[in-house]
Amino acid sequence: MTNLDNVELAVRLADLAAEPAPPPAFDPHTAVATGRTRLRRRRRAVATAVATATVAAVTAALLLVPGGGGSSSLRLVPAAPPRGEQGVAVPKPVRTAVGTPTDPLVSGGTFGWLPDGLDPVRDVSYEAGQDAVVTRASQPVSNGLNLALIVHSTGAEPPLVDTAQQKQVKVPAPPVNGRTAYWVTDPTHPTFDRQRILRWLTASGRWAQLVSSPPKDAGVPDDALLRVAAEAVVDEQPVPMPFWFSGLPTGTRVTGAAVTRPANGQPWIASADLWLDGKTLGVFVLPDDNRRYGKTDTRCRREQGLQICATAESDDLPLAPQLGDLDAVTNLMHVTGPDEKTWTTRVIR
Amino acid sequence: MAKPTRDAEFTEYVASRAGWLRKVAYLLCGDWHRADDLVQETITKLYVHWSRASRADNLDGYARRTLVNTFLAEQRTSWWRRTVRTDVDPESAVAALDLEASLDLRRALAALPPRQRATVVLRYYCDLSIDQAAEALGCSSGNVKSQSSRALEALRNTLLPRPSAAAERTS
Repeated sequence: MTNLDNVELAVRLADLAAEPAPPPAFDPHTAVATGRTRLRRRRRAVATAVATATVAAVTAALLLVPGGGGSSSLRLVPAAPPRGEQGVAVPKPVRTAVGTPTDPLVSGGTFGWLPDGLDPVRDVSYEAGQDAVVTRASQPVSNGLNLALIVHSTGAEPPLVDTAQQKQVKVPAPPVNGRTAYWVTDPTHPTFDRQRILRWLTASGRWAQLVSSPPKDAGVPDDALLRVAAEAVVDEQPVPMPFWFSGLPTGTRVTGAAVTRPANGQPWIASADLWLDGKTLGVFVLPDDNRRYGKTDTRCRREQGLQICATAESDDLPLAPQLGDLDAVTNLMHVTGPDEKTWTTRVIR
Repeated sequence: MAKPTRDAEFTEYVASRAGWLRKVAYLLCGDWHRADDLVQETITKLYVHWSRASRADNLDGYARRTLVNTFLAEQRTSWWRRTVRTDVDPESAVAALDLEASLDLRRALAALPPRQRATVVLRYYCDLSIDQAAEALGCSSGNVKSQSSRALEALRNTLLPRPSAAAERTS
């Protein structure tokens, strides 16, 4: 029972990593597009900090120049946020709220039609994070068909990879709703052989992308993917959730939200991340069927046949007292009930 | 020859190393879909910091460190991704070990705390030394030793040894 030596462990790990895998679902294009967005956001934050510091310095200079500031007392007035040691305002790392002021979960698009085996209600999940909003249709089985609808920011067409190792090319596709569309393929790259990517220009001027990751032994015909694209509604739509908050402390931001259908066939789970002062707590609601989720510390209460839970890793637990405690966080949450028809888009009240 | 652009250098690197990163990610999290999410986030971070990363003495080490940090950070945030998209509920995985005395390394790894799991993957799959693993994890060598020791002890208690070739012949 105890002769697992290090070499054997290494062999087993190598075997495990070499097991058959579904087609990869990551995408260098998305990494580049998202990375550029992050860089732009960072540059804006730095520019804002520099501008604020400049305004503060100019204000101070004007006030220090005799007759320059309209005040004869030559007093410095607080004109900028707290500054760092160099006199430059230090932008505090923050997470931005997702969605609208009332609904953190706003989808970039919804599916209108899905191939056989995918139910447009049962199998569709919505995930809103700091960088992307994804509408995903997944078969409720391990490594089943997965369709992800990603809507890119206005304007930029996602680039094609063109390197020595990978050479993505556009292959013309029939127009989607009368607008430009193409397949992204990479005949030279063996790991992208089964994934199918369709891009099209939407009426809003934003590029949409449908990424199909089929099971190993089955694919989705191109006609079906084109129909999924044509009938997808690319528009920002608040997604109803089964809970709503009241009395969130000032400064609290909802930095992530999701309504997901687990791949293991379990019922839905709705969740949100609450951010305050650099720390994050998770909250979630799910049918009360004794499943247990969550981080290291999780507190739940039950109401209307639902579990209402707040959860945190130990690193983030210092946030809990600011909100009362984890039990108190669950009391800031109110549920509409398990019937999805009753769910609300007024999540933050 | 024209100097490759930032994007071209980046995509070339990702194209050549994505398979390796994906395997490491899979060993860390035990689920291919989640591994893809980890790789996606890792390569995005890599792109953002490409000007620094591309000058690193060991770019693979930089990418691996980014992946491990992303994995560990995900334990604190975005918990819903890791809980709802895996096929094995972390808590039921522990129960399954109790019930089956499982031979399944994937489940045994899933039952380890995240830092212990990362330590095992870095030491025994990536074949890093204690010091290299400590650098990747951002902790002391002593911490890596203690994490390794605890992880191996836990694995020894939950994993049955593979039948040796000799045992297979005589059975």
